[in-house]
Amino acid sequence: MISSPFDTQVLLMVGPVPITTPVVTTWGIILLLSVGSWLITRRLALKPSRAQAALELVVDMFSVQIRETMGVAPAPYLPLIGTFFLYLLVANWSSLIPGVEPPTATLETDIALALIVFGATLWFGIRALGVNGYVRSFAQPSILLAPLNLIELFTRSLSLTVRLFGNMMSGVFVIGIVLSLAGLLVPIPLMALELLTGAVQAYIFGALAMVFIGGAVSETTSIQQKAMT
Amino acid sequence: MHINWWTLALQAINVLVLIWLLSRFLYRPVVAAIAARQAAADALLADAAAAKAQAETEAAALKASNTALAADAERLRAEVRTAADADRVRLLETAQTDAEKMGEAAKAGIAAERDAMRKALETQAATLAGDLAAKLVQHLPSAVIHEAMFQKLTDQLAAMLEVDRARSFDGIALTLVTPTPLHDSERARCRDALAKLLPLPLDLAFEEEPDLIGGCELRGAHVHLRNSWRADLDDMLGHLAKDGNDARDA
Repeated sequence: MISSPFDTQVLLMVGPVPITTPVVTTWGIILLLSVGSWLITRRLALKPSRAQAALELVVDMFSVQIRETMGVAPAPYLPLIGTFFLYLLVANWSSLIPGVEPPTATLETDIALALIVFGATLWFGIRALGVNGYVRSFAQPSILLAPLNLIELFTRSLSLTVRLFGNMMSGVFVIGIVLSLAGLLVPIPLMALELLTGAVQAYIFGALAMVFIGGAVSETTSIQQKAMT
Repeated sequence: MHINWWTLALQAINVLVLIWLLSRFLYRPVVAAIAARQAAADALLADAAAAKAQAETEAAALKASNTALAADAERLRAEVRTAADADRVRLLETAQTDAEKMGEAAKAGIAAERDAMRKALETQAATLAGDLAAKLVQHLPSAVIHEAMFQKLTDQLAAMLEVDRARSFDGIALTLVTPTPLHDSERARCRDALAKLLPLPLDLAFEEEPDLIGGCELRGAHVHLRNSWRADLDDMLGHLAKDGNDARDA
């Protein structure tokens, strides 16, 4: 149980680097997802097994969501968006394991994820139009909106962080309080609700990442179309 | 509130590493598998489409072949019908010709048979007439018959031009043929009567021939003057035969 939403427990120190609980939990999640993926994908066949079919279903669902949300070919964005969803889902549901705190309930993890989305938005926008073209895209549709567009670039990343952190931290916090007050079985409905909340938050984070990156790419596309006409 | 920047950096690195790992071990193989299955499905569909096209081509070829075979069959039937019609016409013509030939042959056979029968009847009639005449003559005096018939013979000679008599009877041996032998007086009288009409000297001999029935005939190397009942019967039978031929030809 966490004592404060903003405190992170340091498990060990590697030189000057503190290794906190979210980092170790994330390593476990990385190990779980990577090994699981390797085990399933090492023997792919044209006639798929049940595990392969399920995995293909998940990956295809990601591709469909990216194509429908962003309106572009999903291949370049699939690893980023798919990993966001899988990591957040596993991380949020890791609270079901006794003694494990979800890394997304810590502010550092959510800020790190938001920064990655921020960097990805810049990267894909600049890759599509170049630095100057991407900077000019902030003046669309009018130069008067450039400050607001620039502020939005940061605030939406902040909103990602706050939304994910608030939802996950509050859920863990409430369960912890109820567990400390009522007993062992009482928090179970709240934990079930936390499962739903975790899945929804994973989907929302991935969907918003798609929207932000897709906005940069679509602005680039509209500018290119205007330049061609 | 404070932010652990080391944790923030490590978490960012962790997520980036996770992105790389999943890209390496999850998305890339799965996308490749999906693409391979899609390619296999496309290949199967292409093969199916090719097989369908080939089947349609073969079906069209078979249909064309069937049409050609039907046309050939119809042409062969027409040829067979034409040949059969030609054979039928030819057979009919042949049969008709054969029938006509057989009819003609039958007619000819019937006519020949009728002619033969008629000739046989004529022969029998002539024989019968001869027999009847011979029996009738037996009841008459032969001298009277001979006298009358010889008189008719001399009348025929007298009716000839003298020039013709001289050219026909001059210097040839003559024979007077009678059915019964003549007495010497009758021979002398006949010789005298002929000597008055024929050029002299007269070389005359006498012969008997019962088939003459009655009358006499004067025969020479180039002359045969007939005045007998046999000659009359032969003339009558000849006329009867001529009338019969004329009636058959009509």
